[in-house]
Amino acid sequence: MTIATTAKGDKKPAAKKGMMENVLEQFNTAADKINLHPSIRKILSITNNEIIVHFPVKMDNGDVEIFTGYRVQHNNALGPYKGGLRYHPTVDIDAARALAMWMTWKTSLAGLPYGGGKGGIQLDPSLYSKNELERITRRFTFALADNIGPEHDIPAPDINTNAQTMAWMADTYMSTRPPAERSANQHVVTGKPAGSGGLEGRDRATGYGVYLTIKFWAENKNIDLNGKKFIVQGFGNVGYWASHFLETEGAKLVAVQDAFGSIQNQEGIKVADLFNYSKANDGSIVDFPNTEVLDGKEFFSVECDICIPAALGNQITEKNAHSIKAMLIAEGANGPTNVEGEKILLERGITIIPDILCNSGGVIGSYFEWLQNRNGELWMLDEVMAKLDKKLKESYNKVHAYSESKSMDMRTAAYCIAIERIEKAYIQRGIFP
Amino acid sequence: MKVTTINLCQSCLHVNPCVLTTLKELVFSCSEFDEINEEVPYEIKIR
Repeated sequence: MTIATTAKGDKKPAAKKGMMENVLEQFNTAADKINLHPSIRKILSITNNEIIVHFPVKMDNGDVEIFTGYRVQHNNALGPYKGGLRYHPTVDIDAARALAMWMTWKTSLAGLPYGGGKGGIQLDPSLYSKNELERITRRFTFALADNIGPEHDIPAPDINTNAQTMAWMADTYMSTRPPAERSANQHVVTGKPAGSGGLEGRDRATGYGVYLTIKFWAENKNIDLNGKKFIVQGFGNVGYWASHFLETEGAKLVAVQDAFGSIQNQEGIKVADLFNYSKANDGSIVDFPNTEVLDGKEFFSVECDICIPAALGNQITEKNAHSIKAMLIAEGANGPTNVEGEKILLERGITIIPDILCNSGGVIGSYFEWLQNRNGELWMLDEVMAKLDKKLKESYNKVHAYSESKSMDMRTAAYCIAIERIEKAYIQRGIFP
Repeated sequence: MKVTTINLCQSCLHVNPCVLTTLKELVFSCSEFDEINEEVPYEIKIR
């Protein structure tokens, strides 16, 4: 697939088949629906900047290793680039490009003043000590230099990076600034520990967002969540918190699947009890009292009203979409429903709250942390939750209204809204010179 | 996502017993992902 036409009609070489192609496919489908201006389509089809840095780090044994780090900045029409940094052996430029583009749509849909970015370091963290990982992180931050910044590009945690990684990055970046400016640069990254500029409640932001989108759907349909049955795939941060908040509405968790196995009890599973059990059993939910073991293949066909795939992609496909009993799929994970699976669900009248809306509570939480640091404020947990509620309601209502007015599914509507917002910014600003 | 160059499963603690997917070469994002090295703190799923 050709990514874009460059000046004077020169063609870029065909892009490597992979994630980028898939993300471009989603983009082009939505762009066709809204008749996106051809020039803006060209701009959005390609990334603004791609930074590759090779940097040396001294290991614990005195040897020096060279690492390769990436930062892809897709688009900043709406504000600074925003997106995670992951440490993994399979990080590459193609994946970073695709995920950066995805971040552009997500931040745009959420109505945030951000663009999209993504990056990471190609390494296997299991091979390095904590001290080595700290030096790698600090040297990577130094190598990125002014390619990141609180008003330019704001990284966040991703796979194998966490609050500690962000604290090291913030400290390193701030140390490179003149003394009087250091404190004013704390918001160069988000996802920091709560004691170092992090946000109260950030741990639950994504799961709370999943719950909120389900609540808004129910309110729109005049459905009472009390007594409704739901199933969750993945009992990590997102799955647990979404279940916790749904339970407070009277909804009943009836089946859970994690990496170790699947359990079911149609009478209900107490979320807090399961969480404590899983903590005490090395993260496994298997053999939780008063539940029956389910065959993994049967999980998505369990009797329920709401299904929350909150683990990984490609879970609802043409193979199992026919047997799903839920009337709502809330995509807590990224890409849990594939194209063929979605087609079947929509034909069956099952609503899908798409990932870029459903799990956007996390990036909205990041925005709040950034704002908090930028304004020199400290927000209380209840304030954070109330602001999340307001922001997500706005996003949900926009997507719902758009999908109703244009008679399209919520995913397509979400992409259309996201792209139209960026198109509007380009039309208002024009293209320099 | 149909195809991806990222493969998280190969460095995940649960790669062998995991029941979530048989398509372990296609996983680019997973809430159950745990890095094999316990010295590396757990992923924080906030993007």
